[in-house]
Amino acid sequence: MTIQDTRRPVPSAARTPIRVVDSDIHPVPRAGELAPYVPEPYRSKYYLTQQRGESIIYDAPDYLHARAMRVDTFPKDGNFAGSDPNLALRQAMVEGGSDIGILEPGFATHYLPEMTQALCTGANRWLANHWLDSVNNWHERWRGSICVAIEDAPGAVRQIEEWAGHPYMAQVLIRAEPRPAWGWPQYDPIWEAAVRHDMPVACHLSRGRDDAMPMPPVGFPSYNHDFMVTYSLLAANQVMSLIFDGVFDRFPALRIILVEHAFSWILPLMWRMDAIYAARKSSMDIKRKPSEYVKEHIKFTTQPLDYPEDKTELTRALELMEADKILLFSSDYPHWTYDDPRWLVKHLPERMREAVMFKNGIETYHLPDTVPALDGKTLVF
Amino acid sequence: MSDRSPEGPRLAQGREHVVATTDEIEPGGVKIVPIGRHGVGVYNVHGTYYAIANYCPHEGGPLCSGRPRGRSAVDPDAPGDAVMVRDLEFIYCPWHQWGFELATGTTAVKPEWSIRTYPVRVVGNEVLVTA
Repeated sequence: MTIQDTRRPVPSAARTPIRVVDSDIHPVPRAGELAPYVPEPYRSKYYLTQQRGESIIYDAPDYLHARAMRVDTFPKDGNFAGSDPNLALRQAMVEGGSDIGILEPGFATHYLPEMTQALCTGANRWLANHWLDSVNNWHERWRGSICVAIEDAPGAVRQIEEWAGHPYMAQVLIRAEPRPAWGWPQYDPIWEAAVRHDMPVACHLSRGRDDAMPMPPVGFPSYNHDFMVTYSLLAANQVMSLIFDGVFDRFPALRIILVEHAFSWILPLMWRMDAIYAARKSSMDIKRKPSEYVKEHIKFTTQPLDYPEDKTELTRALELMEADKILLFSSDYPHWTYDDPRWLVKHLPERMREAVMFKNGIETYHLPDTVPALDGKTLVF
Repeated sequence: MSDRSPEGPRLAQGREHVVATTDEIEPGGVKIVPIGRHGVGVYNVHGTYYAIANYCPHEGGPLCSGRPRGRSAVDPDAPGDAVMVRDLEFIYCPWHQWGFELATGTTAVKPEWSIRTYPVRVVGNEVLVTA
């Protein structure tokens, strides 16, 4: 009789080319898993003692059952969707067909910058120990995000310095709600640290607590569905600030990724910014056409993909905005807004598919060309 | 949670199969049988059996891993002005919650689309599906 230890899979010696890089997968701590990593005093004084009911403003279908998740992503142990790295590997990689998953933990902006930074500190330690470790990342397919509270620039830089050397941390992750806008010089140390470590800075949409709920210009929307649409306004504001406040002139190597803010709006915004630039160039300090900054410095993720009934109009829009220069594929697993890579790729003009599905991702996150092969994995295209 | 694909060898397509005994699928339950590329889900809705393809036409999700329930209807007297009617007669895709009527395969989300449905009959205590 032979006794075989099957608990720890051994990476396959065979390697397979990376054909799909998923820029948005959400890992979630199991119950009680995150708290020990959150530093004091905020662990005890704030996160473990402040009982808050859920602010149910979410109108996703069958919310009380599905919790705005793919309902097949809840693990059998009763924990939340996205809490089991092996189930995520099976569903997003083996069945879905992605080769690399950029992990973006959820964290809300809290009232005090130090509170949010404590949460980010915990999230980084937790992600490194529970997803990016040798047991859970034996397949070398997970990449992590260094979560930072941008409103506390010195603390954010400390997090970047602590984690930038980790072999599987691929980007810095920030939120867009804190004021003022990203063009203000108080954030320069964060951009400087990211550039120094040659890491992109990603921003995933979020909903901060209290004053940090993302507020559109005319006040808070009536429903969740119109609230979701307003995220594009927030991202557009930050794009304008980055460009017109000269961030890309101060940091020519800075790379920004806007995750889940939609992207169709960038085409008319580039036209508008270029028109203003053409008319008012003499009074501006920036060096180039705004659309050139967008195409060189900013990436957008594909999910959510918006399109009219006639999808050839989407093809035209993708051509006009040069989508092969600015898009990264993303699925949003395990959320109910999940986009299957095989479904998404059909919407891209053929000549743009390799760029959007993996080439831009490999370049943006400095990924290898290959990963260990997985048995039975779906080939997307 | 259930698997995307049914277990076991695939059955031949396009003929009548004995897929279960009547007591094997409880009311409100489903059995996914390995017919065709994605499998076929066989449902017991209050004693009536229905069969559909385990494939959502929206983005290709594993439809039969979703939850069967009713649909919402307006009722001005109910809290929230809505009630659920015809419990278990609709299947909702686990990915994006598109709902389909099990009996007809039709959907209110995009009425020009529908899912495959298959004839089911019960002979004695056996459930037979032609798929």
